[in-house]
Amino acid sequence: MTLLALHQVELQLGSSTDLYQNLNLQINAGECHCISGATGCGKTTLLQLMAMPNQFNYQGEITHSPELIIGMIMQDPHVQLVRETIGAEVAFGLENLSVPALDMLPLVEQALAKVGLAFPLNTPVTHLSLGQKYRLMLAAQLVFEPNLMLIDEPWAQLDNQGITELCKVLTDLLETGVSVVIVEHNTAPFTDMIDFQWQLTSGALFCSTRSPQASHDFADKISRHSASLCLDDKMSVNMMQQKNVDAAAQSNCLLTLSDVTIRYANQIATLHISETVSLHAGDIVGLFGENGCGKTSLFNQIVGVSDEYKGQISLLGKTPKLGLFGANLGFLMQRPSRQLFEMTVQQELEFSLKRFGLPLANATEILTQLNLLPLASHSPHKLSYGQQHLVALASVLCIKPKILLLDDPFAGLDNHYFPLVINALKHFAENGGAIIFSSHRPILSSLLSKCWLIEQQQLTEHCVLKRVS
Amino acid sequence: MSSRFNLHHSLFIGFCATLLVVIKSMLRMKLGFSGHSMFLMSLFYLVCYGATNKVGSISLCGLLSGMLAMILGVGKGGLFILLKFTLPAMAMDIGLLFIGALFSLKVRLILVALIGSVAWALKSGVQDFLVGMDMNIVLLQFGINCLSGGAFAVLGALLVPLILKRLDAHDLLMKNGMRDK
Repeated sequence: MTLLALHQVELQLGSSTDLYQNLNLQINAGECHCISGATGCGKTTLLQLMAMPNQFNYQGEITHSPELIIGMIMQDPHVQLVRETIGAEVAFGLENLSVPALDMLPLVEQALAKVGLAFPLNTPVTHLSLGQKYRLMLAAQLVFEPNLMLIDEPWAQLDNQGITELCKVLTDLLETGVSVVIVEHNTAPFTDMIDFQWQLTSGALFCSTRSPQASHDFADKISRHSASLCLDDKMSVNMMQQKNVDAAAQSNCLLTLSDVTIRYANQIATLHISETVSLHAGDIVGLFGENGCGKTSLFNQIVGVSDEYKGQISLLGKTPKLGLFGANLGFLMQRPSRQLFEMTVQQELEFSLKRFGLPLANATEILTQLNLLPLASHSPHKLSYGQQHLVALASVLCIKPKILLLDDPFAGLDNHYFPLVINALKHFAENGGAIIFSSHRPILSSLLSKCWLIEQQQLTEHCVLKRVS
Repeated sequence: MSSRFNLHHSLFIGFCATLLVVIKSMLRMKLGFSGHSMFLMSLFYLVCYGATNKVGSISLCGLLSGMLAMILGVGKGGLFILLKFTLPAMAMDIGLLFIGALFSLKVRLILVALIGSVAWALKSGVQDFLVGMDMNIVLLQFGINCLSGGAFAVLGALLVPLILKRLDAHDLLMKNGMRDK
């Protein structure tokens, strides 16, 4: 049975460019389709078009089966989550379907159990990490038993355990006749379940013959996939506890954390740092840990957004306080949209440069470096999630701070932009800058000076023996 | 795309109506000359039109603001408050039926603002007539109100393209929202 079909669909966004031309797709019950494509090519818009065609001025034909019930999981959980507690969030769909209140509780608990969210129903949504929020979105859709799930880039938001759990849930759904459409750059984790692999190029869908393994074969060894493969088998082998800090490096120390415990009001501690960990000029440090382990919380303490910690944090010789470090500190938030506010990409970059009296040419330089010049006159708020990440990164890179804190900077990036970002970060570190970037899976071993690993609420510092290629 | 009002439109219309009444009640400017209320009115009504790009949205916004103002007791007009908000709004919508597809956005907004200010002055004229003023004075007052109200309404209308541009840049306009091309 055909649940949804797109026939010769054309869509124009903005005043001139055609986003889609003669786009065709047919989704039958129980099929799994995966759509890949470059950052900003219109993958997310395609999902929105499938779910809400009456919101678009399109040409062509989009057919929904009368039995179609769509569940949609967007890329940014903050756009989709509407309620304050996880129980209310999952029950929201049921409330709209007029399900009696007494029947809701078991359905809500069942949906939460399916996605592995074992929290009390009155847990505030704000207490969840980004990855946990993603699972909550999934539960909030599964609860009303859709027969077509549209999922936008889960790999970037979920840790490995989350991906494994998602795959299990999706496999079960497919077996019961539910269809799934996944939009994803990295298709490898979903290979076993994908029936049709599509490539969105030049506004049309092409059946992709590229094997998932091929996506690992980047010419550049520092690409995301190869790096994660490296680390899958090397994390325990190539890392060893760093005991001796070089005396010369000590003089370049930009950040130290000693005996730090992060604890929110009336809650158990989120994160302990028992030993002294430090960051020096030229270092690139990877902060790795699963969803919800406290990576973002740690960044918030370091930059002074939050001060719910005990112990000592010294950043550039001072106790962190918001606004104290000016152009010496660059911070890329996990949600790029939180730090974008100007009318165009160019203005976005120039804002900080003007504020700190830095040359405006830095903006063009970094836009060129990241291949973002074609987007310079675009509104940053209309870009894709990945493009927004790039613009936000460019806006903190262009002021050339001493320390750069990047919270999950690679989410939503494709194979084209990923090496450009890596090169920009390498260039930044080679010029004396220090970087800490977070990720929920170990990546980029070849780039790191050391890594901070969070396991069981403990952060430990490790050195990385770089693999010789 | 559906031509009906949807939730997004409704929220925007409600947002404009609420902001209009709230700002009006908070500022309570005593500038000593009539017509300045047309500034906020034309600003929010036209932003509402620009954001939804639908004829009828201004009337809905006017009706909502009038009812809200009556409930909250903004102004001293009683039932006339409703008329004060809805009459210009309906006149603007009627004007848009004729000029909705003509002129550039800026010219269209100015013309609609002027139509609204005439309707607003008409309401004042009716009030003056009902209290028994001499017809000559009613007409003179109507003319003065048209001019002063029109001047403020045009000022408000001139700000609208800038606001729409900002809303558009922040991706807050609906897909059929009016963009200043």
